[in-house]
Amino acid sequence: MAEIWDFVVVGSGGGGGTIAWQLAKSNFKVLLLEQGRDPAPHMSGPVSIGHAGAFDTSYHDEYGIYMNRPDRFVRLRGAYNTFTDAEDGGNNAEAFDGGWVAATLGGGSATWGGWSYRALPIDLNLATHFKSQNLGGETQLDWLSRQGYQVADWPIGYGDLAPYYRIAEALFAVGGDREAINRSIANSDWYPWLKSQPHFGSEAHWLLRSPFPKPAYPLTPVGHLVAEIMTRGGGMASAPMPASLVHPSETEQGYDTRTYLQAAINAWQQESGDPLPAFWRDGAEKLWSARRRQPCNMCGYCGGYICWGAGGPKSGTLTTTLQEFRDRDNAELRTDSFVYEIIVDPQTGRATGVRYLDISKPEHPRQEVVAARYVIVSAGAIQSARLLLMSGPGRGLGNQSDQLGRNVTFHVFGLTTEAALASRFDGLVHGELGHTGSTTSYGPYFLRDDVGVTGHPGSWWKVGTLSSTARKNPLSESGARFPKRVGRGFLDDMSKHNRAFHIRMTGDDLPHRDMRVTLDRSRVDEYGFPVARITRGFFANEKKALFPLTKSLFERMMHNFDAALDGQPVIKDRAAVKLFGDHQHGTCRMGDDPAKSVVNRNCQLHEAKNVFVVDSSFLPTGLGVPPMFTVVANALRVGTWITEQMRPGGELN
Amino acid sequence: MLLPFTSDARVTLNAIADGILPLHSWYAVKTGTNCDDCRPSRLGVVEFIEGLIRQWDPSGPASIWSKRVTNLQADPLSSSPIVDPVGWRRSRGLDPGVAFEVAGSGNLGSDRMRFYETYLPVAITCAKARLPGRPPWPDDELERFGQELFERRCPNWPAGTGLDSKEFVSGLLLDVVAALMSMQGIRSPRPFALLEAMNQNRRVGNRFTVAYADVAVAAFKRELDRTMGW
Repeated sequence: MAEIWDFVVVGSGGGGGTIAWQLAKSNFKVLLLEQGRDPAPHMSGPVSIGHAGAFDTSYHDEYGIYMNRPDRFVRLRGAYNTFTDAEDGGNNAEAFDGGWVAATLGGGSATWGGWSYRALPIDLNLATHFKSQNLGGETQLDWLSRQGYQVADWPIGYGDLAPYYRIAEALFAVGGDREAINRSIANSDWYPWLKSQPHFGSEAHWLLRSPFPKPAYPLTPVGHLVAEIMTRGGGMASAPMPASLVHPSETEQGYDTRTYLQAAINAWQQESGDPLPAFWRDGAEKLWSARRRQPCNMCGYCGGYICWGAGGPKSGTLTTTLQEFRDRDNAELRTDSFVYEIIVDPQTGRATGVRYLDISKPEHPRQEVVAARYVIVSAGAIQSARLLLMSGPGRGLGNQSDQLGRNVTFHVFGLTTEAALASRFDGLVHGELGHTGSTTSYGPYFLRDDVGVTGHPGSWWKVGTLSSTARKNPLSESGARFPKRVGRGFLDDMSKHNRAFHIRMTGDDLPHRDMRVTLDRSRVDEYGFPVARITRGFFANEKKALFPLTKSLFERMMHNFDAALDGQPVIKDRAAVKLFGDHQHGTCRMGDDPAKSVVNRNCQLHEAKNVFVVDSSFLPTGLGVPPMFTVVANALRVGTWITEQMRPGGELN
Repeated sequence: MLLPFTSDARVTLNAIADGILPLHSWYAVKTGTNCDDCRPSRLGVVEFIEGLIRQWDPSGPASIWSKRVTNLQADPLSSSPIVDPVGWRRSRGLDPGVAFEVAGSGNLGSDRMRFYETYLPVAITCAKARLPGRPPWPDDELERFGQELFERRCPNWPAGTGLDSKEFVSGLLLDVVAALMSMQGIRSPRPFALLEAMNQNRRVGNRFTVAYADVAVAAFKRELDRTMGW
């Protein structure tokens, strides 16, 4: 008789890799399927921190990563999408080049840059917020709805996520300065205004008292510069960017996850009047091994790279939960496993397992079937939607209300001001240091239209966080791929690139009725399956508010810095921003109403309760921050709910 | 047989590399210091390119993939595990006609073997006509040659081949830059010459400390404060 797993988890990134550990730790039989390969087998063995093999320089091969397709690990061989601009209807076959999604063990959490932001409470009730704002005789929500936006409140509150953010910060060894983050929120222009709104909620959820597990990651020159620009130019309080890297000053013994996990559990218990869920009552000694993680050596190969430290300096599931998962006898990890169908019993409507291809020999895929009581999907917002559309009845599994794939958002992440410093700064910028970011600010989470560019003077608009980004890779970013000139001019360009920096807005684009992921009608992947087709446009909120207000902010910030710059800063506007941004979320909206959402508050498909979706697909609205940390926290929340439901005598429906 | 490169091929690649990335003369102007060793031709560029080409050996993964793409473009459903892919597609409202378009996605890789097989004979012919005699040629002459190729105005680029001299030097430039960043272990007398000239500290195997970062920030701050008059 074929083996029946309790859970089969599809995808090992921030959502899947986290919940797989939690369920395995709860003694369920868990099979984790990852379509990518294991890029860092050296991490799966015992690591002696500081020994000669603790670092592997092959992970610094920029040519291999950026140029030598198709063997790079970021994207599955033969995978691509088609993209349609909602405005011009074009339809191009392209790779999804933006963003921290990766077809590799650990998924996007293996290649991300470690930017570890929490969402703010307002992110969870934007519909209520917009409904409370008057915009020339109608509510802002009505105005947005008239423009085609489909903004919805989350069915859960910030308090439901808060304890799991804290747990996630412990698991991911986050370093940061909470007081500085609080200042960047509390001293912003928007905070006093929002605080006066009836839906503001508890200030304790906005200005957190709990420190990060570790101090802020060391400041870099770019971080210092951008802090000055934010403060002196923008009038905003800046803060060190919270980062999921074991602090470089960590002791030689390494980061002891247990200690910080227990501290997070204790703090949760202290703040909660009720007993904690049973899973967490076990305490860190039982939940986590004695494995320690080595400190980051600030090499600078973070965003887009697998960390070269065998002891896991950069956090992600690859270096945290998957390590623990692999310790379990009741859990199994299979890489090179491309899941193409969730099998559904047409009589009961329940999932009974999955079909996948073993693509360890990609030219000779082998078909496999596994049976499971529950299926958890976490393949990234685009690929999860695609998998569900390829499963079940013709319309797709979970698509009974035609909501699957809708409300996809990407952030307007190319919204930047880009500049190079004058030649006197040659050699002083040190873009090579540490992760890509350094300094951030919640200052522009909302921007007020002071001059009426939106047609509504005095109105406030949701925007996002600002972050500094250093220029890292001279090969991919200096123009070598598409040179404008050769000879000494090209070398001048490269030299200028070495003094360049960006200030980046993680702009919160709102879900719109015309933005959707579907199956491409004719294009297929290497194995004959339809590729995902992504339709996106920029609409009134982006064009009338997000772009002009951010541009105005950038102009104000950079206004007095001419003396330090080589030429004028380039402020990217609509024409220069890529339509398809770096993050992806929202194709399986979470909500209580099955007519308007795909999964319920526990991330179960309304249509098939034994199927869960725990990657960024569930987000009802995008955030003003990168989504990874919210995905991890939510996976912990859902995992906790499942383990509570399935305690002895209990059963999920 | 592309490899090993012939003497003519090596001379041509080195000459064009020195012309399109004249690190030695750029560095001399920038610093007033002679850096004759910074010539790409002396820094293992040709060996790096040979290494790239070997990855496209007919039995190598890149070459196998390229052939598979050709097959999939001819028969996109040849690897489908679905028993009745046409019926399956119909049930999902998809078109019966299918296409495999990974080539358009940029997820195919750049076939360096085919690239150099295609362009090298033309480039050698061109270089022989454009650069009479034997190396060394004057730096200015090599730089002019590179510019002409990039701007598609080299009179010696053979007409009627359908090949684009700009595409060739752009592809070569990328390989030269990659070679001079020393990412693939090619032996070179000055493995980071380009990065050093740029004051660029990104290196394979970098390790830094908090103290290093603090010193870097302090030095940067001094210059910023001085510049801004703070």
